[in-house]
Amino acid sequence: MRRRVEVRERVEVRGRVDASTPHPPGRPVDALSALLADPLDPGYRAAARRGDTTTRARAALLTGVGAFLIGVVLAVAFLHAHRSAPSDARARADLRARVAAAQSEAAGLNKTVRTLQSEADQRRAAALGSPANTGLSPAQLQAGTSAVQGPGISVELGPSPVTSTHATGRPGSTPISASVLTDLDVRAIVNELWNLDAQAVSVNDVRLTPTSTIRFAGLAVLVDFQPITAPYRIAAIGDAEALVTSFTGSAVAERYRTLSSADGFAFSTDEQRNIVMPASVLPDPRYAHLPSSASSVPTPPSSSPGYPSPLPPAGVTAPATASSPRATPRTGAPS
Amino acid sequence: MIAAVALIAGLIIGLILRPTVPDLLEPYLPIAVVAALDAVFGGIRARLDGIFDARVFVVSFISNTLVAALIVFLGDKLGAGSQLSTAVVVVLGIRIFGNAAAIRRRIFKA
Repeated sequence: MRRRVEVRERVEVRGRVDASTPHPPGRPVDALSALLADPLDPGYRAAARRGDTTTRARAALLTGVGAFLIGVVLAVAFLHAHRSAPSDARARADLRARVAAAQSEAAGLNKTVRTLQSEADQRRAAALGSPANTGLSPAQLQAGTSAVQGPGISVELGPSPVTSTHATGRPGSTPISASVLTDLDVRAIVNELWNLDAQAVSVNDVRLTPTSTIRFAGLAVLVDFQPITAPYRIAAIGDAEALVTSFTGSAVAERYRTLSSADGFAFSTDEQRNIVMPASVLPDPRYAHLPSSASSVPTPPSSSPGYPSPLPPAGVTAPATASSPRATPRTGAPS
Repeated sequence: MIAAVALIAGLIIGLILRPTVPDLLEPYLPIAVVAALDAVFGGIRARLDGIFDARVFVVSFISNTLVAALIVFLGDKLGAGSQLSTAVVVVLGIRIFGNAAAIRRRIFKA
């Protein structure tokens, strides 16, 4: 204690003395422990021992030059590190604009498809008669090409909270989240609902047809090539009570209940009194065609249309179907 | 005080003039930054200890930068560039933290 007080006094009086060092002078000095123990540049102590040899003006000039150089170096490094920031921002804005343009174009094309389809339906109805007479209506229902409504069940698979917290991070780092809900999860629930005799299923308001695909690209689930975002709402029309009971008791629901409590995403099942589902679009079959003999055209099993009832679009009695006259084959069988 | 004013002046001039870094020197810019920070903290601690010397300040900054750049350059030629660069940054970083701790002890305890 006394020694420290002495040193401090000497520092105040003369200002140029060996500063207090944390270790006694006799300690063995290996490089790293010396560095850790005393990080001050040894030049300062040596200069202090030698004594004051430069004039004050020159000292001030040197200090100024040194500090100026350091300032320039720091500024240049800062600018260099952020030089690509404006172009990054420009690239992001450009990508956003392109995505928006592509989305609006896709929406416009969808609208055109629906318009042309309703036009085709009108002409077919005019030519063939109402779809109920030709047996078209139940077929359209099962194919998912007519809008439907009815009671049923809706399952909600929430967003993983992990993905949102991983949105921040150092630039250039890729967020890895342990529980990303993928197409497998949506598919498992959809298949279970089909298994339990659902009569129409839709995912995030995209109606599923016999040829619908549920895929995964990037970090987005695609239903029929339309990207959907979490939360995933899967609705099914059928016997509401039976659906709810058997689905909540099924292995799939049990698995997702466990996963949701472990990983933190939301999973809930609700009985719905009236679900409205839009019609979907089936691609024209290019290879599949009806068998050659007209009599062997299979008629769909007419299950009593008790649950889903086809919603007629305004002003038209015939709901839409996708198979255009172009696709019916050379055999001339009625579509 | 002179050093602070000159530092801020250097920062402002650097930000205004925006000198472009030649591609040859680009890998040594981080080394120069760490050496600059080390010189700043060393200078502040020496000033607080009362043994600041202007010549040592300038010469230590310039020589540390040059020696570190030379080591990294040699390392690049010998295939150990990134490792030596890491070593230089670690050593200078230890000095920065040590000096910062000493400054803190001076300011808050003494």
